[in-house]
Amino acid sequence: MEKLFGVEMNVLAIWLSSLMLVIFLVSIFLASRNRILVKLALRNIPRRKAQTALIIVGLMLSTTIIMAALAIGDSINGGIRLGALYSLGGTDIRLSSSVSSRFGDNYLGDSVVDRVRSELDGDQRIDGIMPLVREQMPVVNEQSKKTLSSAVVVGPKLESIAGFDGLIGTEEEGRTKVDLAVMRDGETIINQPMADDLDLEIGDLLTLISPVGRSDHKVLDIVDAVGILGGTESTRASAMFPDESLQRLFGRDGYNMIEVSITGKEIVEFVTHDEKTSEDVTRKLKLAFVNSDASESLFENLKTPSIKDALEKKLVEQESAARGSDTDDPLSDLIKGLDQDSPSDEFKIAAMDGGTQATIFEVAEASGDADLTKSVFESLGALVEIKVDPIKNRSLQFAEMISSGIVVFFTIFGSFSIIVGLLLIFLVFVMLAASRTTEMGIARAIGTKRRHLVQMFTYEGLVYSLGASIVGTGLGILASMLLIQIMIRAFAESDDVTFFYSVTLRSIIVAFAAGFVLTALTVTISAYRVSKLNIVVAIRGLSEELVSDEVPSTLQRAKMVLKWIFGPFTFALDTWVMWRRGYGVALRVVTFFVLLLIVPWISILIIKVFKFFQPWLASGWPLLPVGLILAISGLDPEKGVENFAYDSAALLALGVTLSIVSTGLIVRRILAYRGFREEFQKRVSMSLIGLIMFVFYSLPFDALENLTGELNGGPEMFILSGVSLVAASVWVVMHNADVLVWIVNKIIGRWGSLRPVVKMAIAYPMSARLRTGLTLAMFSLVIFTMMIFAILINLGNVISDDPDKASGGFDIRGVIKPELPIDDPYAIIEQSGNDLSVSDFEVITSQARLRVEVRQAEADSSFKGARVRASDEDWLRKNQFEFTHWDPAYGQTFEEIWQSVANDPSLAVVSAGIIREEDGWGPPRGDNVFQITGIEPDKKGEISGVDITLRPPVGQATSDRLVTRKVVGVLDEFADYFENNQGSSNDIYMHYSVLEEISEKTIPFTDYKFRITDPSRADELTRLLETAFIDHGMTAKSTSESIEQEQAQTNAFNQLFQGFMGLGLLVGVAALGVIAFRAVVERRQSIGMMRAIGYRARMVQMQFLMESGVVAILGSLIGIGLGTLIAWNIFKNISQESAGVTFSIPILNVAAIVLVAVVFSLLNTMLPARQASGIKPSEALRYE
Amino acid sequence: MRSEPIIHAHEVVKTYRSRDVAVQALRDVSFAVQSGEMVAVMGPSGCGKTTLLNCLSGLDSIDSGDVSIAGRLLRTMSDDALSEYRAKSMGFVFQAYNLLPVLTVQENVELPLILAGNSQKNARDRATEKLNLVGLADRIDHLPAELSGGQQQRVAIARALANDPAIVWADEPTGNLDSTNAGEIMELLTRLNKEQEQTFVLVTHSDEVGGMADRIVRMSDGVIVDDGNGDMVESS
Ligand SMILES: Nc1ncnc2c1ncn2[C@@H]1O[C@H](COP(=O)(O)OP(=O)(O)OP(=O)(O)O)[C@@H](O)[C@H]1O
Ligand SMILES: [Mg+2]
Repeated sequence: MEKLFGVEMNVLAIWLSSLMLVIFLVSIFLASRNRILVKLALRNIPRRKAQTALIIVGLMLSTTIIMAALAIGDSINGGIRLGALYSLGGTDIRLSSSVSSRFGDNYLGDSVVDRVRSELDGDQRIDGIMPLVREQMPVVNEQSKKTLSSAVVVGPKLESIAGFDGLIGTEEEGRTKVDLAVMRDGETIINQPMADDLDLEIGDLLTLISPVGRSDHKVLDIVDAVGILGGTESTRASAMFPDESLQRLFGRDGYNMIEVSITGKEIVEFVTHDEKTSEDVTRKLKLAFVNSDASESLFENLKTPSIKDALEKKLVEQESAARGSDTDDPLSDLIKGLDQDSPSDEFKIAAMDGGTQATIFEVAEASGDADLTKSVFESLGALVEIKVDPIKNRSLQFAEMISSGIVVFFTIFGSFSIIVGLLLIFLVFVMLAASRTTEMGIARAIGTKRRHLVQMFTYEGLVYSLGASIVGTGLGILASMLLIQIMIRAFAESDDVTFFYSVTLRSIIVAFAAGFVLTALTVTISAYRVSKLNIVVAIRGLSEELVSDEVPSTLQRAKMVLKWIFGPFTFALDTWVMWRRGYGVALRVVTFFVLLLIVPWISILIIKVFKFFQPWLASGWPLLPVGLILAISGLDPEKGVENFAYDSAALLALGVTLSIVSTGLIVRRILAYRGFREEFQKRVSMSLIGLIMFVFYSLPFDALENLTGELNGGPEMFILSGVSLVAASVWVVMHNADVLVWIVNKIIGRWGSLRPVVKMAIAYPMSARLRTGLTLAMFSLVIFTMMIFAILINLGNVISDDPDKASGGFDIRGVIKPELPIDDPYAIIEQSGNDLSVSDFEVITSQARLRVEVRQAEADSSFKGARVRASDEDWLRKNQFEFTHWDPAYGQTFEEIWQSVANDPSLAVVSAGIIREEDGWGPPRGDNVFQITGIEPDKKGEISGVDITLRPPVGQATSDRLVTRKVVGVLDEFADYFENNQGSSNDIYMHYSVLEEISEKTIPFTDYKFRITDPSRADELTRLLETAFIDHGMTAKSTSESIEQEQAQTNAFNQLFQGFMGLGLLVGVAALGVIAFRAVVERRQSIGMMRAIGYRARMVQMQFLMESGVVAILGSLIGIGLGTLIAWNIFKNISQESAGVTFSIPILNVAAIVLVAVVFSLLNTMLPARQASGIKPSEALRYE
Repeated sequence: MRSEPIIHAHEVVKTYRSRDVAVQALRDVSFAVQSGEMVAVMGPSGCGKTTLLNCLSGLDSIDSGDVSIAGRLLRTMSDDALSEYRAKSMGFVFQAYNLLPVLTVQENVELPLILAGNSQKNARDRATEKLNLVGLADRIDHLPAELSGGQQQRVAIARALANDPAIVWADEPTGNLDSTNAGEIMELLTRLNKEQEQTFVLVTHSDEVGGMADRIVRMSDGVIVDDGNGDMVESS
């Protein structure tokens, strides 16, 4: 993995470890100045081993989660990368024809190969240029009768194989390179996956099915699936033949690919890579194969002032749409290039970009100049002579994108757990301090400075942090190993991707350093907070956990501000004065130099200014204007104040939060003024704050869109709103805890014997509200995240409930090789033997696919890409797809519409994607995608037909071969779901007569759909069909198979994720355990007392369990409630994008989560509870 | 002949072992208290008074010998039975008060009452009554840490008396009180002792307090040197 949240991992590693180093150095420096403090601070660590262990457990969990997330990312990255690298081998750049492969015009002749060679001649960076034939074809082992309907067959030019000869024997043979020069016609080398699939051994015959029929090839060798024989990422099985053999069998001249290998560093066995060089060579090749006449003519055309202006306007539009993202835009390169006298390299490169081409074309058409349009169209079509694809770079970038996406996803959800982990650290410190209050009070009484207390706590904390980051990192690695094991097992059967555990040193460093820095910071803040104790309160053991400082007078605060305006200089003056009085000032001298670094100076000044205003801020009202200003600044520019609208959901939320807090504080003021009791003031105002916050953060994400405009917000909003929501709820609960107590009392009070237990089980948590509130918040957060995820992975989809919606009522889908077309499927079935008979099938239909360019007649837009599905009449009449929009002139029912389309070849229907506007979700569609405007996706029902014009794609034929159709229906998004990239299709369905109208050459039917008489035999018939149609290379899949497959993969990912989230649960459970353990120590005497006045041992135990249990149950309730709420909001958001998701709460899963959480918390409390109940009263009472 | 003693100890030995050093806190102590008696235990600091109280009341285990209370041998009673007996029939005032810091004064006193199964209202009334007795009716909603040492001690006494227990064990119940207050408390205790026939075993350093008891038991170095009866000295 290279990047996390857009930051280079290297940079992250360097920054975090330097930060860690700074923390170390500073603390070592401070420690060396006051060794006695260090001694005092560290004495407890070895002495109280159990406590130390407990604290480390509490502190380590955040690190564990970070480490686990990173290691999972590494492993996934490693798996995908390795898959890509193996399938590419030596190939870094792949050159192919710019013409579509449909009719075999895509084969490149020797002249092209020679041109490539001469372009790269003498280039030291190149270590191989290999032309090859590469197709996917069916293969058979006639001995074993095993078949593969689609295997990769490659025919490299053997003399050119240097640089690509990463062919290696399989493990058993000792992994030697295999000699290729010996291969002759009628021979083949296959890879291990093919050998496994077909049961082939060296010496056996492999039968290849090609347009000329079956041909046998003797297996010379079996090698690993790497390099030339690496297959593709989805089809591993692969066989290699001499180039002439394949050219003859396929009836082609030349090669369909030329691959270039580049020198670089070996990253896995026999595979090298060098991203920068690849990029450079790609550029060189692109420029070499740009048609200079075409670029010249394009250049001249674009220089036309009106066109240039239009392009510039487009650029401005695009830039404002993509505000914030700093991708260098090829369009701007193109426009810059127009200022020169001749087409520059930058201009050419930019003009080759697909998006830019679409823009150019649109601008040309909009100009209304028919000649210019034609000329631009022609030069664009001729511009690229050979496509140059830096395929290795692209594949590795893809691996990177997927894995860092997964890590980001994990980290976002994990950040809840990390936050909980940090809260736990704070809590541990609060408790540690509480147990030492008296000690600290006495220390302060005899003259220890507060600064020293902070330092002592920090030193102690740093040692714990170090221990915790070490243990946490180790545990994180362990946890990720277990989780990846789940993945490995889930993907064991598919040979697409092989996952294996891998973790980079860099990730370990990042996790360790991040864990340490986060822990250390939390520790320092906690130490500072807990040292602020009031001496008297501490010694008398009053139960206030955090006592706030006295506020210095306005004058004093003003003085501080004044003093820090001159920062280092007043500081130097003070130091000088101190030195004169005979104080040691070495530390102050160092500080002075640190202050001169400006940043610390300014930050201290800011703190002082803040402190100056703090007392007024705390009173409430000044927060209101601050909050409102913030909120307004977060608005969308359309809704907010001009030049003061930053379009940020986070700013808005922050502003609103401040305003809410302020309102609450003002209410409190008013109540106080009216003379209400303090308790009442507090409860009303605090509950008010909590409740309004709750309402604000629980609103659906777009609820306020009318007011605020559509705001920018990323994952940080999800985290912010989740945490705020939980905090608000816990806040309300804690400020109304007595209501809860009353309820608990009412319920449990019925069992008389439990009353004394309940009494104590309530008294303790209620007397330490901060602690209880924090624990409750932690537990709620954990359950909250688990709940959201449980619901999200359970979002049912209509497809598994009603597969016909996606399959159109066909049970099996088969796709054949266009080179091996079928004449009469019924005849083939009839001849196939006794296993398969025509009577097994109710309907067999066929379709052809064809890329076209389409334009909507009345919208007078440019031609853009779409796919025609030319269907036979059976398909049109017998499919069961449903429409969301239809033209009532052609039928009242879905069936009638279909009949109309079957009867009248001038009609067509389109898939849902065609009327849907791109809305930023999902992968970007690109510019060259046909869309129909004027049909509202959300307003389902009747429409009137839309006229469209179709033509063959650029380069396939002349552009004047136009075909018109009327679109009379829009399919729902489930139609053909399995064949379309999950609904994002833009298909146009029509009668097959279109094929002859649009194309000079015959286009074969390749898609076959089968409806069978006995649906329970679907899987069996699927296999039989593949065998029967092997001579046509049919790959078939049943609907049920597709559904299962999709589910199996999501399940594997979900398991991995739930396991990961389980780590968060661990934090919650650990929190309750840590608290219970501390409680036993703290309450020894009280326990003794209780035993003395007659509490039974079991009652004491029960009290502890009850305390944890109440927090666990209450936390679960809050978590479940809020989780469902947010999951519902998310669901709403998702379902706007892709209909067909259904919401349901996975009762069993939720019950399991809660059960596990509560039971484990109780088990975890069991030990301390038993310890407590075993305390001997006489001992405990003596203990002081 | 007197009636059967309510507390009876026979050759009780208690040794504390900590870090290889064994401290013999009680050596062959035999001792009896009659029902309704008020006994004061006196002796120098560290002689074993607190230990004696703990062992006799069943809070602490003993190494050898026997203790019986109201005719039942402590070592035959289960921990639960002992707890229940303490809840119903014993009250304790400890040297360090040991109030529960998270409960208010009122709740501290209520706790044994609730434990003994009284209704909330009943417990409240009786707790208020006891707090009245010790003169703290105006402090019922405070937390222990908000009271002076002497006040805390008086709450502890109120708590010990809350259940009207048959036996009250008090370790220096007036140690932190001025003589006026101490006198008042002692008067209260003697009155209860007479009127309700409660048995009191109290440890004190004050001769004045000792003087108000029916008899004084003197201890020294883990041994009873004078049990105040004269006729039972031979057991030591
Ligand atoms: N848990 C213990 N471990 C070791 N020694 C103990 C323990 N408890 C008490 N002792 C020792 O037993 C002896 C008797 O202690 P005890 O508390 O009974 O004295 P005391 O008479 O109540 O004194 P004071 O009047 O000071 O309260 C002392 O020497 C004490 O050190
Ligand atoms: Mg004592």
